[in-house]
Amino acid sequence: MIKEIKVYLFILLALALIFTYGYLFYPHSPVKPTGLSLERPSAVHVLGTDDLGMDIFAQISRGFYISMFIGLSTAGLACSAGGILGIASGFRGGKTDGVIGFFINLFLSVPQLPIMIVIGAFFGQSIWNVIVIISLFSWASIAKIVRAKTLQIKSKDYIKIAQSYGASFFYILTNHLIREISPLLLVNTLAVIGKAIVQEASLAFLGLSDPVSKTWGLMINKAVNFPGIYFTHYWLWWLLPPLVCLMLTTYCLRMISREIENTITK
Amino acid sequence: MGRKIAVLVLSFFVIYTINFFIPRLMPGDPFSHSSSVSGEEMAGLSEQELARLKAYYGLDKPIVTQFISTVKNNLKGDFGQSILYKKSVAEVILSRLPWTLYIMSATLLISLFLGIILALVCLKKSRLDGYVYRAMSLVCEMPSFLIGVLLLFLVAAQVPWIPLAGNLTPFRRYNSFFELAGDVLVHSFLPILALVVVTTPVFYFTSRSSFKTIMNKEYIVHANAKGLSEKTIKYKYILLNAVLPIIARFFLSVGNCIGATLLIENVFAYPGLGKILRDAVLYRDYILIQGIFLLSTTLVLVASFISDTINYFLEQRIAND
Repeated sequence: MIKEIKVYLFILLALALIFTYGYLFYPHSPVKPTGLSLERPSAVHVLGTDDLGMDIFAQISRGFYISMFIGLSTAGLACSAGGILGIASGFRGGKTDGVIGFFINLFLSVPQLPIMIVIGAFFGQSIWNVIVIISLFSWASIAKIVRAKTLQIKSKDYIKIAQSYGASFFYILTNHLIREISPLLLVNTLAVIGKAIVQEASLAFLGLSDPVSKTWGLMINKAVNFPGIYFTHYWLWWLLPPLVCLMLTTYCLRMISREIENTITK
Repeated sequence: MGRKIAVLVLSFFVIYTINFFIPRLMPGDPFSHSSSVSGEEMAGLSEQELARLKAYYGLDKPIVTQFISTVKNNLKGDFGQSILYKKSVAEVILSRLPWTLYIMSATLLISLFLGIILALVCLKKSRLDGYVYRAMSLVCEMPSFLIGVLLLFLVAAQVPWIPLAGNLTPFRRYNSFFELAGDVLVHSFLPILALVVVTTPVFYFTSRSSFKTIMNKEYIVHANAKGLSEKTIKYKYILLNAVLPIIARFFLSVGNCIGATLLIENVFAYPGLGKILRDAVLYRDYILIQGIFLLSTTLVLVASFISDTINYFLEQRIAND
């Protein structure tokens, strides 16, 4: 278990290092044409150039940071909202639980992609909107898990004894609940980062993400929509690298989250 | 049970209301958008004309009156006119819906079948099960549209008889029904394959855990002791008893599947709802977007309600045991 987590972490770290180099020290700009259109990979342009002559490797490096930023912010928002609402719902019970529970079920039963498209279409395309939209549809599953865990802990004897001694909610929260819930939150945060990156890529693929910040999804979108790309070799260096990076990153994140989950439950 | 139905109705009402209010809460209105380019005010609509247009479209009335008249129209099956296609929204959606439903149902049924078969075959073979389990957990994390894009380049661009896009060969005349069916199958092969790859693991995992719980039950031990054949135990005892949770999962997957289908249709330019949803978004055809959204949400809500109901009866049965 721990060994596998280390392997996936190593891959992620290696990717991060490569892309940090590409973002900070690589000589070509990710947003300006620096070569001819659609150059093959060479010593000058490591992964070649796209149709506008912009360096692919520089773009992927910048895309990594944008994608990670989106993933981390979404995970932060969704996990704090899900955690707070889940604990409130599980601990308070009664009417609070009824209202929060209804919204959890509502957000879980609505198909995510169509509603993200609708909101994205109406509220305009910026990175912040994308982050808010994806978090809006990620908190519910976390809240559900946290709520179940809180209920389970709440019914334990030591909490009841603590309460009978007059322990306040905050005392129980900081001394007992946080300790049990934080590993759960960690697992879900990692999972949400991966999901958010994929969902942003889906939105970008449909042309609904921020057109200025070029993420991996937008690169794939641009490459696929290039006329006649199927009959050329351009896709080998224009489409494949962002696609492989996207798959590898999300896969590693998901696997780390799953291995941690297995370690916790065992 | 009554509570569940109440929650279903309430959820539908909330979504319906959100769907109604989102465009009305946005800054600006349709007229200022169409009369000015890139935000600058253009001479065109005077105050009186604006008021006349608003009155014509009923936008001058209080929002509650608007809401009631929208509900009335929707109940009659009138969802407004699509700006992009110049037809009624219901007409546009109905013409495309069969293609989406075809892709979705084919995907779900094939994945269900494959998932159950895989789980059944691997049931007693622990080494094979280990391999399949690893492969499935690798595949199920992949987003389907990326698999679609990969298939497009690795298969469709290389194999001459597999088309890159569309649902039918344009301008082709069909001599028989089989030719038409063949053409439909060839065109839908890759989109369905991309979706099946991601959906099969879901059913595999559910069937596997469902089978495993039943394997340990006393009546299976008893059936074994009676000397019943492996086949009878597998199909009559394990599969039949495990089938309900799998079916519950089937309906629950509709929600995920609809999103994936809408995306995949765009990868393969398949003319279903996903394609018109994207066009509607590109051309800001709000009325069509709302129509598609309402339809897909209703579909998913009903499907997850069915799944909930099955689970409810399962729990009742376990409680009675």
